[in-house]
Amino acid sequence: MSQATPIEMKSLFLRFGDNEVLRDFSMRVGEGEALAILGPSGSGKSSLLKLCSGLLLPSSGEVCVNGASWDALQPAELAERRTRMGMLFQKNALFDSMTCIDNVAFPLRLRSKLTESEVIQKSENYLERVGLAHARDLMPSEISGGMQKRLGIARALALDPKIVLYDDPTAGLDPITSRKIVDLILELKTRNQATILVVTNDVQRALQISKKILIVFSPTKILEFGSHEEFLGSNDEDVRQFILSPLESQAKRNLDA
Amino acid sequence: MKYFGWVDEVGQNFLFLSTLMKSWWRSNDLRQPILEQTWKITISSLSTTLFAGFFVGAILTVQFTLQMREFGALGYLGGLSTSGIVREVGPLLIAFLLSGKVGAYTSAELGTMRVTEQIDAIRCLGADPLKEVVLPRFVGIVFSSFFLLTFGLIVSVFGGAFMGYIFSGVNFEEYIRFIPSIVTLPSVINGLFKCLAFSLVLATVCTYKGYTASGGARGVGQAVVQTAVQTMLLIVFFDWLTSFLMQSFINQWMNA
Repeated sequence: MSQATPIEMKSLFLRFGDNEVLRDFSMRVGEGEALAILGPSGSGKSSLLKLCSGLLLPSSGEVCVNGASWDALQPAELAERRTRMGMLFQKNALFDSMTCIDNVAFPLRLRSKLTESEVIQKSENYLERVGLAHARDLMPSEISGGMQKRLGIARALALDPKIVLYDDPTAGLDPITSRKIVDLILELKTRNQATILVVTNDVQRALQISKKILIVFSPTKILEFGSHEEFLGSNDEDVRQFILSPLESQAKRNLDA
Repeated sequence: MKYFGWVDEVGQNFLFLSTLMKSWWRSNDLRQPILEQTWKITISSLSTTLFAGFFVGAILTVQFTLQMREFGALGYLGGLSTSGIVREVGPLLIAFLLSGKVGAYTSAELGTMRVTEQIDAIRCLGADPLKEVVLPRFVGIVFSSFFLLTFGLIVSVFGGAFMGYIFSGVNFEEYIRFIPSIVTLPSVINGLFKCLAFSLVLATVCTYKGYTASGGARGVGQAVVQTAVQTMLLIVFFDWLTSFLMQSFINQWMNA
């Protein structure tokens, strides 16, 4: 029996009042695939992830996760399906009144049938995997930005989800830490055999994450590239602008001047 | 229509309350988080309520003394002062105090969780934030506020008696002599019913405003201000409503 497509969007329209975010957008991400979503700020990349997780509902169209439309699910089914998904939020959304280990243990205590000692053991394993074993009893406000990202990743993966959504996992981090975070995402993807969607503004990191790249410019201009060659060889002016690194852009502007 | 925005607000509060009740109905066992919240809120507000309750009683006794001394009726000081405290002033002033302390705290806490996407994170982890975060706080506030208001009323009677002795020269035995005949059972029921109504108003408004906050730090600030204002207005309104209904009910009961 063939597996249902992990993520599929069909003819999506999304509006916030007069502001149109998506117009007739469709895409699918197959099992075990990675998709990097690029685009300028405010173009609707995070909204795409929120549509996938069911935090946002489309104005029209359908979002199917593992073959089931979010619209058609009862609250209990919705909650159950969400446990098979993990999400890292742009600003981490860590529970600031809980310690690092309690942040990771929270979904396990709520949604798994593990005993308390198993919950603690599994949480400690995840903290160790993301290199935060030493920060076990610290509060999120007591650790650095990069560590908070890693803690967010550990929490998102606590229930061993098969679909993981990462909203700008390298935002505000230095290049070395960014690379480490992406290495960690890819290592955990391989280990869990998960399907991942990663929103980022960083072309380098997008290329590191996935061969398949989606670039969102406006509701009517969303381009999908199946390979790096296709993406890097694109003749589209907006894509060229996006690919050029900030240094190259500056050099080009200096030359033009 | 914007002039009737408050009607919409009150309606939204009731809808939120009904959603919370449905969520409670569907929940299996929330005893532990509810007990934790009740304990936390009660302990954090106990000393403030003690202080406020004592001085509410003391203030009312001073005011009654000034009026009654002229008529040579200081013997009734305890009865009248306690009646005023239990039926009206005590629940009202202590509820105002709790709206500032418990209401503002809860609204800010939930609002911050909302704007920092912690509420969304809970949903993403397959849990219901209403059940996990809001409901224990709501029930905790109702239980603890009811207890604190009742406790505040008892303390205010002692505050009144103390001030009666210090300021008015009325000893404790004399102060309490007419309390049983003036502060009747319906008066006590009236006071307790008000305490319950105010607790429900406080819990509903602060959880609703916090849970629906949006727009970053400014949004949280607005939610806290709106919680304080709406709670006080609704408490005054429910004070009138409960007085009116209880009085009508008591009159009918007495005439029957």
